[in-house]
Amino acid sequence: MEIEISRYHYILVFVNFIVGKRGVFLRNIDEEVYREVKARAALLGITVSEAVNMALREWLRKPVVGVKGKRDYLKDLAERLASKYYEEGRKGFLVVVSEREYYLCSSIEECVVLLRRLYREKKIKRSIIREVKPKSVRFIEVGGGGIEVI
Amino acid sequence: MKLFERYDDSLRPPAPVVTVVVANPVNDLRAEVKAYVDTGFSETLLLPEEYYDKLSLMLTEFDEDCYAVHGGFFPARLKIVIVFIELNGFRKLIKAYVHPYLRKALLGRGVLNMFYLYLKGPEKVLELEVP
Repeated sequence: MEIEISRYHYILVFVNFIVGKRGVFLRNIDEEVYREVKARAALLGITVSEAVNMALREWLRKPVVGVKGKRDYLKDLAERLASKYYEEGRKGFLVVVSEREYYLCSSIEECVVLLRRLYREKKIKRSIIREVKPKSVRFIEVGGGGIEVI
Repeated sequence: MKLFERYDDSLRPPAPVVTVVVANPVNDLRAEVKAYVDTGFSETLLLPEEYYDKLSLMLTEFDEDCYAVHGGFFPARLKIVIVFIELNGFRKLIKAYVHPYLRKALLGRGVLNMFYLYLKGPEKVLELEVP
């Protein structure tokens, strides 16, 4: 299942809303969505907070496979190349610096050496490093309980 | 060699911090970062977004889908970058994480487990030794 960025954005807004109880300033709330949530909550005789909690619980029950973001041609190319190389049984790290220029390195250290050279030759302003393997979504736990973002 | 660093007194209660140097391995831009010790953070170094531009970390961006989960439920999408971390004679190439909403840098177990750390709470001093 893929989640559209707009939906992910709304969910973040909802989370911000809940965290807002602890004094977080809210930004980028979609007014139309908020109005609809408020109207539906009123119809059901519940508060907006309760509605948001229900929506979040529902969302948490569903597996997250990926989130679509803005198109990034370097990342798209890295993805295509990684899939192709993986199918061919090749291993290592891809360095993509432009549509026509990409390299396969055996380690991250080798990627850095290559990027240093390209940077000295003024050939790059940006690069993407991608390991040749299927892409997965990774979640990491931050221990601060949210206080580090306030 | 041992390193001694005072806790950050601006927080209540005071919190242990470690000042590390973060360097871009491609263009050698560097910055001193005051990172809070966070044994609940499972990875290496979590940086506020400002360092992404300041150190031109778009040069070493690693393509991986990664989300930080705060307090068990608040997800935020992270950028992953390759940087050098330097501390008291120690230097290592690591994957660091750039967080869009973070205001304080965090040093997690991925780095902390490389050192001997002694938290002298009553003196509000952190003692760190690179083995």
